Amino acid sequence: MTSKDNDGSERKSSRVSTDDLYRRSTQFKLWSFTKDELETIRKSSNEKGKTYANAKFDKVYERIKAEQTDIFSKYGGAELSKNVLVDLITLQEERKYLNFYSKNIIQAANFFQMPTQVKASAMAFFKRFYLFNSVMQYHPKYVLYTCLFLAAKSENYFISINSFCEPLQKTEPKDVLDLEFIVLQSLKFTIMVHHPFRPLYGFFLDFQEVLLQPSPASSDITIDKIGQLYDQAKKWLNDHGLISDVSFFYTPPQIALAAMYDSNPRITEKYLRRKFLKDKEPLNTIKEEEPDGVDAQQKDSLPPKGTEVFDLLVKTIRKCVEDSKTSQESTLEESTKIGEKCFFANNPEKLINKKIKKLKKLEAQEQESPQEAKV
Amino acid sequence: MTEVNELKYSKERKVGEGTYAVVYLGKQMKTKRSIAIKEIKTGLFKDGLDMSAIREVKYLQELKHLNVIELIDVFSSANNLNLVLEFLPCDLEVLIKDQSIIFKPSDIKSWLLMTLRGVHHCHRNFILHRDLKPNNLLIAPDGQLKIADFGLARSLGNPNEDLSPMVVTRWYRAPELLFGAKHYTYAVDIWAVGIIFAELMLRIPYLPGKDDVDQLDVTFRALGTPTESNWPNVSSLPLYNALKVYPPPSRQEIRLRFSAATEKALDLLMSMTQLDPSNRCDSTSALLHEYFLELPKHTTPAQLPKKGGVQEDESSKRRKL
Amino acid sequence: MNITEDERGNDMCPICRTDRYLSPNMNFLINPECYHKICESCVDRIFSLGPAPCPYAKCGKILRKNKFKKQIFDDINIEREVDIRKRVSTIYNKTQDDFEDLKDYNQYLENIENIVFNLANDQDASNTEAELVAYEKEHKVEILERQMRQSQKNADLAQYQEAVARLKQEKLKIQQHMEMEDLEFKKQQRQEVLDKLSNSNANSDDIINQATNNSLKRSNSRKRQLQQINNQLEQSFENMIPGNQKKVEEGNKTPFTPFMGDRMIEKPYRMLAAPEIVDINVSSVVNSYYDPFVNQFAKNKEFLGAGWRLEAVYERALEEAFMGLGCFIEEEKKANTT
Repeated sequence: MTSKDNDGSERKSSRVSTDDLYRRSTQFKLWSFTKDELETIRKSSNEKGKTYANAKFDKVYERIKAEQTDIFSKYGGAELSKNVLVDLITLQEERKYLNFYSKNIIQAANFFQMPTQVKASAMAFFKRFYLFNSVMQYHPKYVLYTCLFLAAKSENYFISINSFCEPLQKTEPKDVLDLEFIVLQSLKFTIMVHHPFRPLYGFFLDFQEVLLQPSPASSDITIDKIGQLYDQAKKWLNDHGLISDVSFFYTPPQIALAAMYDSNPRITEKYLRRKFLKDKEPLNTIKEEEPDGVDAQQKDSLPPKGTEVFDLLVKTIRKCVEDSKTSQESTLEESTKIGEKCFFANNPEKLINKKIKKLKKLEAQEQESPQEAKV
Repeated sequence: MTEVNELKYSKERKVGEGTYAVVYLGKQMKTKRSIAIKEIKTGLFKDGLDMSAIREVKYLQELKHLNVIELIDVFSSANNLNLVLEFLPCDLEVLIKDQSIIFKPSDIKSWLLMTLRGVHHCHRNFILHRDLKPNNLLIAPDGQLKIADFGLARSLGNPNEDLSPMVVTRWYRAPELLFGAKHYTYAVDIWAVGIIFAELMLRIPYLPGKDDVDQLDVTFRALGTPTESNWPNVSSLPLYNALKVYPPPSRQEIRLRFSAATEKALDLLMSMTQLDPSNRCDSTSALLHEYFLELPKHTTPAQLPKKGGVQEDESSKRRKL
Repeated sequence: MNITEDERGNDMCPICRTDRYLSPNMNFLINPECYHKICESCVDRIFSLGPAPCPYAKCGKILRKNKFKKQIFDDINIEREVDIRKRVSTIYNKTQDDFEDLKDYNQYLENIENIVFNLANDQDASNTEAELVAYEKEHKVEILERQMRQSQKNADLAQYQEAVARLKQEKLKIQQHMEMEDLEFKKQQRQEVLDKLSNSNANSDDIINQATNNSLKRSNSRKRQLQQINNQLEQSFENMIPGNQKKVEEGNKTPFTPFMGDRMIEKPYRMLAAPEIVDINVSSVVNSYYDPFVNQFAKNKEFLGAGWRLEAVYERALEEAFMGLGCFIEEEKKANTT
C-alpha cells in the first residue's frame, strides 16, 4: 500500500481501521477543516454578525429617532448619523477578542478544579460555537460559562447549576441555562470531543517501547529523558494546543506528536524514524537511508509505510507546531476596546443614548460657557 | 437548521411517554421511511438538559453500526430536542415472552451474534453501554437486532476516575456492580449479554432478584459465592459480603439448567458469566468463540421469528424512555 | 574385490570420503538428474548457494538442492524406473472413470508401460521423451484438471480420517468427564447418607431407599444426556464429512465473518506487558512501561477486584495514539471537495 490509499477515497477493503474510526467521528466529519474552509466560515460568520448587529441597530435607531426628533434634526446628519455611530467588530478583532476570552475558560475550569478533559471540551465547544456565530450576536461571557457547564455534564463531571453560578460574578442560572440549548444547537448536537492528551500518553508509552526496548536506541535516551519530554509536551498542549486552531486542522495523535516534537525534536524524530522507517539499527550504520521499497513491504504495523508516510507525517507535525503559535494575541487595552465595541454592538440602544447624552451635555456646556466667561 | 427540519419529518402518533421524553411514530417526508421521533423536553429540569439526553445524543452521534440503533437526525422544535431514530417495531423481550414463538438454536445464535457485534462496536469506541437487557435490544423489520437506549452509556475515562456502580437493570447487573465496584470495565456489558443469552435459552429471566439484596443471593445461588480464591481481591470491594456461601455449580448442574444447549454454547455462556470480571471473556473472544462456528449456523436475520402476525403491537413500543 | 568395493561404496561418500563406520548418522541422497550418490552434508555444502554441477567426475550435470531425495530402493535402476513411472503417470493421469470402455483403459495403461520401459532402458529414449513432452504440452489443461480432481479426493480422504479420529476423541473425553463427575456424585451421596444416618432419627431403610432412588433417577437422566451429547457430536460429524459439507456450503457461500470488518487485526504498536512487580521507585523497567502515576493503581486491591487492569489502560492509550494518525485533514478534505 502507498500513502495514496490514505486519502480516504480509495480504500477498497471493508475493514475498519483505527484511522477509519476517526474518519467516522463527528469531529472529523463536522469539525475538521482546511485552512481555506475555516477562513471562509469565519468571514461569513463575521458578516452575519455585522448584518445582525446592523439590523438590531437600525430598529433601535429608528425608534429613538422618532422619539427624540429635536436632537436628531440637529445632529442627524453628522454626530448622530449611522455611519458615525456604528463601529462594528472586524474579523481580526473578533479573533483577538475570542482568544482573550478563551483564556478565561482555562481560569474558570481551574477555579472549579475540573479535570483536563472538561477544560479541553469546554474550549472545543467555545471555539466551535464561534465558528458559526459572532460575538456581535452572542456575548462570549455567558457562552463561555455555558460551554463549561455543558462540558462538565458531557464529561461526567456533573456540577449543579447553583453551585456552578454561585462563585461566578453577576451570573444567574438563567444566563447559563438559556444559552445551553443554543450552544448545543450550534454544536450541531455533537458533543464528543477527541483530545490529544490520551494519545500523548499513548506515545509516552510507545516511545518507551520503540526507543528503550530491548535496549536504549542511543546512550543519551533514558526513561528520565522521555519522562521529562512527556511532561513538557503536556504543558505544551495546555499552552499552545488548547487555544490555537490546530484542533481544526490536525488529528489528536498528530497534535500530540507536534507537542513532543516541539519539546524535543531530536528524540521525537528518532522515534518517528525507528517507527516508520523501520530504523531499528544503531545510528552509525547506513541503514537509515534505506530506500522505501524494501522497507515498505516488511513492516506490518501502519498500512502506508516508508519514507513517503514518514515525510508526510514530519511535514504535518512541523506545520502543526507552526500553526499552534500563530494565535491572535492581544494586549489588555486592545481587548478592552474591542470589548466596548462588542458591548455596543449587542446593545445599540445604549450606544445611541450614550452619544445623545454626550451631545446634550456638550450643548449644555456650550450654553453655560458664556455665563462662565462672565464670572 | 432548526425549523426547516421539523418539516422534514411527520409525527403521526404518540406511542409512549416517559419522564423526560415523548416518542412519536412518523415518516421522513422525502423518503417515506418510517421513523421514531423521541422528543426530549428541555427546560424541565433545574440543571438544564438531562444527563441521559446528553449521553444518548453524544454517543449515538458517533456510533454507526448495523447493530446499533441509527440516529438519523437531531433537530429542535420550540426548544425541545428531537432525536430522529430509525423505526424499530419490536424488541427481544417481546419475543422471549411470546410463548407462541419457538426459538431454534440457530435463532438464539443469530441474536447473540448481532448483540455481540453491536457491543463490540461500542467497546471498540471505548463506550460502555451499561444498560443491556432484552427490551433494549430492538428488532428491525428486516430482522436485524439493534442496541438502543444509550441514556446510561459513558466512555471509559481516566484510569483513576470513579464510575457509578448504580448502573444496569438489576437482573442483568454484574457481581462487581452488586458489590459496589467503582473501577469496573467493559466486562459489565459482557455479563449482561451472558445473562441475556441464558434468558434466550430458558425463555424466562435467568437471575430475577426481587431487590438488590436478593439479587446477590439469586446470583450466587446460581453461580456460587465468590471468594478470594476464585476471585482475587473481591473482598476489597466496598459492599462485599459472603454471608451465605453457595458452592459453584458443577458443569453437570449447568448442563441440566440448559438442557438444549450444546457443549460449546455452555462454554461460551460460562465464559461470559464468570464471577471474576478479569476472567470474563471480552467481546472479541466471544465473537471468535467456536460456538459460532459449530452447526447449526446462525439464522439469517430475515428468517428469524417475528412477532406473530401483529406487526404493530402497541405494547411493544411502550418501552422505557 | 568387487563385492568389497560395492560394500565400501555403500558406506562411504565418494566426495568427502566420510565413512559410515565413523559417522553412523550419515545419509546418502540422490538426484534424479543423474542418480549419483552424495552424502547429505556434501549436498548441503555444494548446493546450498544454488544450482551446481554434480561433483562426480565426467558427470557435471547441473543439480538443484531441492531435487535431492533419499534413495529408497537398493537397486538404482529400480529407483530410476519408479521415478520415471511417477513422472509419466502425472502426465498420463487419466483414471478408469475417464474411459467408457475397459479395453481402452487397458490400452492406455499399456501405452504408459511402453513409455516407462523405453525411458528406463534407454530404448528409443530421445524420441519417447520428445513424445512425452509434446503430449504434456498439448494436454496441459486436462492434465491439470485431473490433477486437481485427484488431490481433492486425497484431501477429502484425509479430512474424513481426521474427522473420525476427532469424533472418537471427543466422545471419549466427554465420557471420561462424566464418569469423573459420577464418581464425585457417588462419593457425595454416600457422605450425605452417612450424615443423615448419624444425624437424623428417620428410618435408616428409608434413607437408603431414597438415596438409591435418587441415584437411579440420576443415572437414567445421565444416560439420556450422554445419548444427546453423542447425537450432537454425530450431527456435527455428519456435517464435517466432505460431501455433506458441500451441500451446506452451497446454501450459503458467504464465509462467516464474526466482526464484519469491524476490527484491526494488526496493531500499529507492540504493547509491552504490565510490570510484574509494581515498584514506583524503580525507573529502569525491563520489557515493560515505566509510569509511576498509573502503575500505582495496579497495587490498589479495590481497583483490581473490580476488573481494573493496567494493560487495559495501556491498550486504550496506545489505540488512541494511532486513531487518526494517518488521517491528513488538509489533503482529505480537499480531495472531498474536488
